[in-house]
Amino acid sequence: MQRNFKKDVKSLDEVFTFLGEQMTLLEIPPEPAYAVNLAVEELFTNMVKYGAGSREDISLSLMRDGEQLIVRLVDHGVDPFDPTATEEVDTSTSLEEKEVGGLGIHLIKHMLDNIEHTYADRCNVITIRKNLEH
Amino acid sequence: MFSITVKDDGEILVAGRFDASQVDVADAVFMKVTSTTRVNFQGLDYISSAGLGVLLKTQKRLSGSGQSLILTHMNKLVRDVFRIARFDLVFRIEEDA
Repeated sequence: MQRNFKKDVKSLDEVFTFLGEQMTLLEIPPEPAYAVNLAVEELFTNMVKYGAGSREDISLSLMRDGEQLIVRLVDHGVDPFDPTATEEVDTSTSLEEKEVGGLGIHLIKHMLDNIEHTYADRCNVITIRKNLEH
Repeated sequence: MFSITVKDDGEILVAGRFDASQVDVADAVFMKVTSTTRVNFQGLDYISSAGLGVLLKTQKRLSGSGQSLILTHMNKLVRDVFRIARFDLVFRIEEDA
């Protein structure tokens, strides 16, 4: 199931509604559902911030393949940007040194089983996978 | 849906989904905090890095004057996000009895 969303942080409400409906239909348990909600929010807001060169909608799709949930986000008409290539933040530093930059990517790398970036036809495509059994 | 309420005794209640679209709403409340304050997460279902950022900014500002936020009644999934971010090292998180 695929749907397009306006490239704006205000679209998040609609994005979460769509994710909630789809993950209920696909019978996704609460823990992986949380991880996917968080990953989609972090990646979507990244596209809003860094893909501002294009006003085209962001496409979001979900499918369940056995015990794996596969989610894809496509940012159309933009330059290449691989959010997974950013440096890991040091999350063990003291309060004074702690920063929020890069935290979203750190969270999703730890909460998902796989995240992959490809670029073709001026589209950044991010595919994430979450195992439903551990 | 996100809500943030300040009780008469100063405790802050957060509920619903604390995502990137709610940063300004939450910031407006946390900016007014000047002393040690309890933040009750009982009704909070979800937080992302955007929400963590608002809390971190407040904690940093308060620590300058020896004050802090105390986070209470966090559900397991939200607690996991704090743990993965290692935010449990810079916040006092009160576990449910």
